[in-house]
Amino acid sequence: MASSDEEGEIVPDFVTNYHFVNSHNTLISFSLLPLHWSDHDVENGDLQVAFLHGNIDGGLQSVYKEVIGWKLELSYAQPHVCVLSKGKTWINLHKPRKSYECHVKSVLIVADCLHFVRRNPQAVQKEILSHLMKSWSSGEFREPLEKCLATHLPLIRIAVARDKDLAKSEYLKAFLMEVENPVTREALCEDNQTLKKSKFIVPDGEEEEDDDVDVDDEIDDDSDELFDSVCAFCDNGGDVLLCEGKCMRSFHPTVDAGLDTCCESLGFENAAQYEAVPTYLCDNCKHQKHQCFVCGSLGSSDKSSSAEVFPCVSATCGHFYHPECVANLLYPSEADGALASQLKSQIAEGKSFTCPIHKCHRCQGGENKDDHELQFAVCRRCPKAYHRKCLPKTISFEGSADGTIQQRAWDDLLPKRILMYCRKHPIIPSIGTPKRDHILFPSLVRKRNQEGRITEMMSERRSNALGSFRVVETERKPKVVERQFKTVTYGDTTLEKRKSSTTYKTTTSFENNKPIRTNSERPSNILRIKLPNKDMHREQRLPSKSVKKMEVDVDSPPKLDAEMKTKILKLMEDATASFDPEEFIKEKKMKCTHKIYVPQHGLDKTITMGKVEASVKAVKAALKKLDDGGSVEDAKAVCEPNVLHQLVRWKKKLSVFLAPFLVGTRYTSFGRHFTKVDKLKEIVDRLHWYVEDGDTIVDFCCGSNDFSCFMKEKLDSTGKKCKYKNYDLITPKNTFNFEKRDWFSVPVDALPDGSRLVMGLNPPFGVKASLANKFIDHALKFKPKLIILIVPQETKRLDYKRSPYDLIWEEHDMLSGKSFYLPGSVDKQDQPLDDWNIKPPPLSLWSRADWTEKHIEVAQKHGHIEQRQTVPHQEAERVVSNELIEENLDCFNDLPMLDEVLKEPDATQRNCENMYMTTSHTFSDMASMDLSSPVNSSSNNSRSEPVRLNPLCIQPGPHPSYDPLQYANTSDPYGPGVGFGYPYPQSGHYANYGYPAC
Amino acid sequence: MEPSTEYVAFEEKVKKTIYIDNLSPQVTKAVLENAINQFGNVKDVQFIPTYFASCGVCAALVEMESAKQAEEIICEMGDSPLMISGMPRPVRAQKAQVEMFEDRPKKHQRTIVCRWMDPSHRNFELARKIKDLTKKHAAEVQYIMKLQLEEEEKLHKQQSETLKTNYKKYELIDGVQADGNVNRLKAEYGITLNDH
Repeated sequence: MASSDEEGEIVPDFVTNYHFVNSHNTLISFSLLPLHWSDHDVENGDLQVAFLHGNIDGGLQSVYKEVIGWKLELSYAQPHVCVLSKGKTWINLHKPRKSYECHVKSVLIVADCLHFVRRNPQAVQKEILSHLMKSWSSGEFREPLEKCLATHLPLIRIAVARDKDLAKSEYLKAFLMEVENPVTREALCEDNQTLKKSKFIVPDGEEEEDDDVDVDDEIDDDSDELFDSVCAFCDNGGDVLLCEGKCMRSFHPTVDAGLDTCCESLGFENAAQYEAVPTYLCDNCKHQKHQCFVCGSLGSSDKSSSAEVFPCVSATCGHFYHPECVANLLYPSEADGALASQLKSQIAEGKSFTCPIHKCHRCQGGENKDDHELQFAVCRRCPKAYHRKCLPKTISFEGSADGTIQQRAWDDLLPKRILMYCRKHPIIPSIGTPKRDHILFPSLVRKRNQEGRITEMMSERRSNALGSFRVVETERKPKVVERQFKTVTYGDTTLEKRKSSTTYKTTTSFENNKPIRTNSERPSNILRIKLPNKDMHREQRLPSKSVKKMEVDVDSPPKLDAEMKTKILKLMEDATASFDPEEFIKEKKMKCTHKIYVPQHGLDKTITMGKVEASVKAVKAALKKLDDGGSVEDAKAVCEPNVLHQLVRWKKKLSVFLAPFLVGTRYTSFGRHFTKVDKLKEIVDRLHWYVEDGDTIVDFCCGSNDFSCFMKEKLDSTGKKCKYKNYDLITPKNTFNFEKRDWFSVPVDALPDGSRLVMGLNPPFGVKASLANKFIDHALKFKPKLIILIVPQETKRLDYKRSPYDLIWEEHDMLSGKSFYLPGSVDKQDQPLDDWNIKPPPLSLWSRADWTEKHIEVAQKHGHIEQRQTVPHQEAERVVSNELIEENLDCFNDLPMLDEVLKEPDATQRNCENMYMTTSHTFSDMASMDLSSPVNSSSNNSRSEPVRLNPLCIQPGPHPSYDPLQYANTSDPYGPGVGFGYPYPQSGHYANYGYPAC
Repeated sequence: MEPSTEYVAFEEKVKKTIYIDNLSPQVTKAVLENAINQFGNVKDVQFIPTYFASCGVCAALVEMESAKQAEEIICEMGDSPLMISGMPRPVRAQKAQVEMFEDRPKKHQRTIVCRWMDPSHRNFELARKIKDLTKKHAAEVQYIMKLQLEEEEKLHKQQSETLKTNYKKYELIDGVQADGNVNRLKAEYGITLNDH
């Protein structure tokens, strides 16, 4: 990389291994600084000053500079990012510090992208992506490009505005267009959300947070912040397996997962192997023998028998202690000896205690995760913790180049905590951590020989001091595996080896005996022959032999011989091998949701039993502490406030997952809701006046496909010849003009010109109407002259779209009462299940601007709106007119038919028992009406306000922001509680169910 | 030999029928009929014993209006898992097989006559071979069934275990919320929870 020409004072041309902090010493992205496009063209930044740390002279010197701006140089062969030092010189940025990378990755990707696009203005997304893939390895480049770009929108806007070449780029133009359309923007944000929940623990940089990202996502973002998710062996993050038990630890499950840190790992061979375990318990939790965090020796933690070690009561701790060890730590001075022994006996009796980790070792203060300075640095090897501000200088965040100072503290591994090793533990340079022999698993051997203390100790399995160390670089992998095998089965010392191998022998013989005994029919010598890997000869010979044997005992069924078994097993194995579960899930995932609707992760495995138990216990313990006169701070050490938030979130997640079991069992559905047939007829009665001869009527989500049929019936009777087109994901019973197709995949040229199109009806709502918005947006691409919609109120109104549509009328109460039903479901009397919304979704008719006049005329003629009403085009008046419409809505209630329906919903319900005709939502819809609309619509309940919705005023709903359908896509295709498509039987239940209106 | 007309009609019926298993024992005829009715017209529902699933799982034959509808439903249910009556796994649909019908008519109008065969008969060896082969097949089928059953049971156990633990977690949290502990602590901390 060329360095920029600078004169005067001695400043570094470029820095490597850099990072930026603000005045509070928090890592920040340089992109928050003012952006200098040219010398006189400076954009305001969120931040005026930042501090650059980095290395110069090839890492020989470190540098610390105050910087006040940054710029992007696109004219070189490589994109250059420079920052402006306070002395007005530009410093070129080379490589960021590894741990800082996540903060600036997105801006660097954007820079790279702009640079490429500038040179290739014709480039389409695919080419850009493939270019980026080259410079960013796929692991680093996990997020969709659009998301990256969206987070740096101001930068892109400026770049396109100021740079002639960039302005030519088709891709950026299209991108900005889409972004300017708020709905698509929301789509981008949604991608954003889902990605934020990536299973990698590296949290996304703060600067990526958008204004639009609402409370819900933030909650979900920090949902894991209470518990650390770094491997207990090597203290690094990544793909970890969580123990369900009380220890609340995580482990790298495979050698591959922990390869970076030479982690010895749990030794699973592949993901399939450990994913098959429904609930993983580490050996400590399995045998209820945990290590004391002070002395490191194992003790029984089984409360029902004689427990030796006791867990700290703090919700997020998970460490165990001998009563004596922890009592001495809590009362270290001689003078407190009496207190210590008192505490010791209390703990031994089962009294809860908080361990020393929850108080600063220096100032004895508590932790406050939200205050940067009061965040804790917790030693991974012993119960010692410091505030950030109290952290001794000797515990350094950076190692020195000459190796005299080792890095002992890491800032970004634990959520809102510092991971550190205190001075007691010498760091081994080759692995970057202290010895890793800190973990002691009770091994199976132990159970069989109860021979006194010493032998017991030996039969414990200790983790490798050096992990799977790099010395074996040449042939690392096989070596690693071998080593692991060794540790797993035998352990390290020869004595231990001898011990365990004898036991091993007994086990094998024991296991060998068992089948022989149980299978007494079979002569045992045959069993001996029956070893796997038979050659063909034997396979062919033996059957005839067995046939001969059969002669003797004609009446008994032929015995299963070994060959047959192996053959069958082989056959089944082949069948299983030919099945690729990942591919299968991927395919299903694609099929079972609307493409555009990004399914999210399933019930996350981070909700472990241990965590739930500990949290619940901590809540009680904290209360007790308060009752006993403890301070709030003490209580918070036991149960920090976030634990309460966490509990609420967990419950929500679990309740969605468990919905089928918590709520009614007679419900069957893909989660669809169909509009009742009488309601549809009403809609048809109104709508047909607006339809003209030769129009095409499109139901973009037709469900049972009745709407089109009624339309046809009606229009035919009035002599209008029309075409019909119906789309849905699930084939309905009635396939009249039906095409099984995702609405979003219908291209614009598949349908006639917009002036011949009447489109709409009841799309799936999606969470916060997100799916409904997307349906509408796709519909708008066809520019239909009329759109008829049943959508929740929080749907974005069509008069706020880029090319606004005019509201002809909006009917709020038409779909109140039991207007919907759940197809395929019956109640106890085998009657179809009805459904209603607390706040009914309005029915609305929208007209393309150039057709408005005509449609209003029709509406007035047929009394759908009153004469005096006009729908003007000007924005200012539009709001007024909407209010007018709403005020006048009541006149529609005079329709006699409606009244009848409202009076006798039950009668209607019975009447349509045999008629499953209606329009629908598609099945990804469970979250739609049931989860979202009762909540949201009631929140938007007040009529006096004009219904003007934009993303900001939609209530950040407390309801779960995930679609239970997602569970169809979790790892186990037939997993339990496949909670998709499983709405609560009636949204009315919602009021009692814990999702009341706020 | 031409199959009997009765059999031809029966074969038509088989084509229109889907076999559904992984059904909960709570599923009644009405429930199943309604569930399938959203995709087509159900003509008949018949519960049959299931051979490939573990305890507490039912199966049924559902006859549709047309073979096309039946095919579409199988396709639909394969694409998007359908849950009926709180069974912890989606129901499974496949084409019905002739052998699934207990009341199936004979394919050919002929009678089978049994007789003893003398070992000296020239076809004796052949007959014996056929007999052995049949027995062997039966044994093989039995073994495969056993394996499949084991697998099913394992899955079933695994699923119910996961379900149970998840439910236990839920109950734990629910308990501590229900007895007001969370609310009290919340008040002490002076924080508000987003727990609606």
